[in-house]
Amino acid sequence: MSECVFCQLISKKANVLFEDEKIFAMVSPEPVVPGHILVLPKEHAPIIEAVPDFIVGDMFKIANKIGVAVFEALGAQGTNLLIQNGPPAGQRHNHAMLQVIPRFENDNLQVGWQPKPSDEGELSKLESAIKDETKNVGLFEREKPKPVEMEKPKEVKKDDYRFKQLRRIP
Amino acid sequence: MADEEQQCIFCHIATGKIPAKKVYEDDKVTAVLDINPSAPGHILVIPKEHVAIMPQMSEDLVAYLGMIAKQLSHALIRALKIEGTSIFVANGVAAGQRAPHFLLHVIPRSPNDNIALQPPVVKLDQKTTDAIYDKLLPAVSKQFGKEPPKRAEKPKVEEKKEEKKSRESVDSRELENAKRSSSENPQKKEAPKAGLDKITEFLAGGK
Repeated sequence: MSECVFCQLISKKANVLFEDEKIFAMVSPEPVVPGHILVLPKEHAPIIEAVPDFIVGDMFKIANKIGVAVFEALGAQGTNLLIQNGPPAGQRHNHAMLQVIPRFENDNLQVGWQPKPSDEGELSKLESAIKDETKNVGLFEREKPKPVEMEKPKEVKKDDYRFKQLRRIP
Repeated sequence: MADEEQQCIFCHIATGKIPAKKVYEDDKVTAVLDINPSAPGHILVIPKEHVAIMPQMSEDLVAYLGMIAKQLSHALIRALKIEGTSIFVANGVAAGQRAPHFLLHVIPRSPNDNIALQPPVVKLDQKTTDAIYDKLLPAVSKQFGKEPPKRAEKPKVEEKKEEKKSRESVDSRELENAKRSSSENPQKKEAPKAGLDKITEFLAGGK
């Protein structure tokens, strides 16, 4: 965990814009545009799948609010929210994050894709394959109540010097 | 607004008036396959309520969409045996939004798929970076109704912990030394360290 660059940045509160108990938002140390912002879970998770549902939900809430701030503070005309999930998606760091990217008309940022045609048969096949895996979508993990923390009583070893001293006192 | 909804294709898809390849539906959202996808399996998550951009939504719906996106991404990975997805939102035409109805994209990814969702890192000088930070911090804090957080390097709580730790370790070293000296040179037994005297005193119930 200590090897993770973003865990270290979080503990240093580097470029912090917002934080609560579970989430940290910062100006990106590797911006793709000026004002590029990262919203991260404080607890280390390599990919978004490993982040609990309710925290992912809060990350979006926070990113959305930050998006409004980006409109106001930077005069942005649009925002992108982006999760790069896995190396083929461009994920470069071992810590899951949601990015907020301020956009301006004619900013020439290469974000988008060429829509491709698809045929009915292919779509139907994909539909049934994906549907098979969405049966549990919408069942969310909830936050577990915190366990009560109790201090452990200190164990005293019999050969503790203090014990010996004690026995020596008449 | 009512007019907009009547003319909005995505409102009709979300409510089922226009048929689509639905992969998921509940009372808040409908998820369908994009008929002009970036890649096979491209999912559009459509809120049933007509909203143009995310800032117009309730907080609860925003969070809900995020959680649904995470789970649909997971479903895509399992169904298509792929190694990645992009979860993407465009708020505004400048950001690449094409539909008048808010859409969240969950896109299956594979190496060299020519989907441009990994913009390159740019170099910014320190002055620009600082100026942007100074503009963003109060605006973000205002959104959360908070005072701007301090950009401290070390939080105080951490320092205290460290202090405590180092004190503990000194104590155990003292203890170790005292133990060694007591077994090695019995004559020194009579003069233990000051800290230990106190402990013994305490254990013995004082003088």
